[in-house]
Amino acid sequence: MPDREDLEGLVLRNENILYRAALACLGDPEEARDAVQDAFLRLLEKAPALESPEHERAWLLKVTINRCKDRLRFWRRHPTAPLTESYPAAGPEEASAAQAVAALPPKDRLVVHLFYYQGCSVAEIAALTGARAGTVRSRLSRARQKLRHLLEEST
Amino acid sequence: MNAYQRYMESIRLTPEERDALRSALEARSAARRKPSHLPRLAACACGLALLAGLGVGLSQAPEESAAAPDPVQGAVSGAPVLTLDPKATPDARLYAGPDTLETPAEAVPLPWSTPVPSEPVTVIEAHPEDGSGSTDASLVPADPEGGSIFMVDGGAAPSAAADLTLEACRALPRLGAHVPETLPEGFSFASGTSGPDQEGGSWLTLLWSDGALGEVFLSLTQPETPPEPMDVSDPAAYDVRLYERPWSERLPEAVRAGGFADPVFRWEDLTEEVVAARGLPGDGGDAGGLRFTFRVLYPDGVVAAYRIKGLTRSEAAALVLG
Repeated sequence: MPDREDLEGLVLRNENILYRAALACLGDPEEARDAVQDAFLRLLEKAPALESPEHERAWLLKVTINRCKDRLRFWRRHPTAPLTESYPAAGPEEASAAQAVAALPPKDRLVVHLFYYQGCSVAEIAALTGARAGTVRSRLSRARQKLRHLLEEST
Repeated sequence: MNAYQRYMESIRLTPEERDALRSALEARSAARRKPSHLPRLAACACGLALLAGLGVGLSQAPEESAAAPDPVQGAVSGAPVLTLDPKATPDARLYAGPDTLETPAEAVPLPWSTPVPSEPVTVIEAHPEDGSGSTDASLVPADPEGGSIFMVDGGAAPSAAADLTLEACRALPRLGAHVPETLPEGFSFASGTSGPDQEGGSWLTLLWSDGALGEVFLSLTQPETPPEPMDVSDPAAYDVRLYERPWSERLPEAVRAGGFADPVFRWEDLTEEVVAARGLPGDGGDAGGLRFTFRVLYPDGVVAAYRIKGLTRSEAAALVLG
């Protein structure tokens, strides 16, 4: 069991990356925080032998995504208010992009987030989400079309 | 999507939220440190009751089998005996782990051929809510630490992926022959996973890491219909050095539609120059070196998808060309 300083380091190293991914998937800040907390707790419980901070982050990201899927499945939770109300965008361009992504289905949102924000490749997303690479590609392609359409509408 | 990136970068947990998270973690982990014997006693009692029930059920089985067949009972009676000890499975030597590194000497059974995973399986997802991906059936470990949680996406017949040692990866029929023999200095094997695909074949993924952010990710598949290979005599279709970023604004539509982002090269056409043409200058991500993305179609129909970060052009060519 890590001491308080280790725990703080663990949280500081990973909190925002995990929180953003959970938020992208769930859309609800409270649910996202719970998913992140679950992921941290699972790491503390399992104490897997992780070679580096990057392995640690990948491990946590995968568990966070699984927790998000659990929550989507069991609670069918969707945001009751636009994400930009919880986190106001800095400008109209950012607001449009955030709203367009938020309008996608949860799994498409997650794939878009991992690809465009996290910088993951299709293969990496497939490994993280448990989907086949072909499924990830089709989700991305479909999401791009929807985003293009939504962004054109907003302008 | 730059605007989306900027928006996401602006989102952070507040110090209060972080403190709440840390406190919750400390509280919950402390609570779990205090073991209670009651749940164990209850579990033992339930287990004994279950065993007693099974004993009665088994003793009555011949008589019951004469009655109307129960499809559930029939399915269960034909299932192999479950074991909770991975080392007790026929394929235990193929599972990654400190004590399972021996290389199989004879023909290697496919790692997912054991019909029932050796650990309890919890299905945590079935049928996507949005209906997409319904034709995609896969059962892969979703839990990086143990593979004890599996996801079913599409609800098709279950099958299982398995973590493998590098030696076991190399020993796989067909796919194993395309695993690179040597990696650049500093890179070491991180993980290997294999499983069945929907076309009756299999897939194999491997990851090597330099311990930091450099990595070589290789995915080997044997698709029923091989992808269309690129004509290497036309570098404009695949050479990343010819176009400035962002490609979303500068890449001709015809080039984009032609598979520029993830081109497929015939193994026979592959040269150092072709591999070098895929190295993105100044875009190695957080790792030094370059980033490479391309696929190789081998004469036996196997497709190798390379995702490389942190190598030089010559290192990447040496890796792929052997």
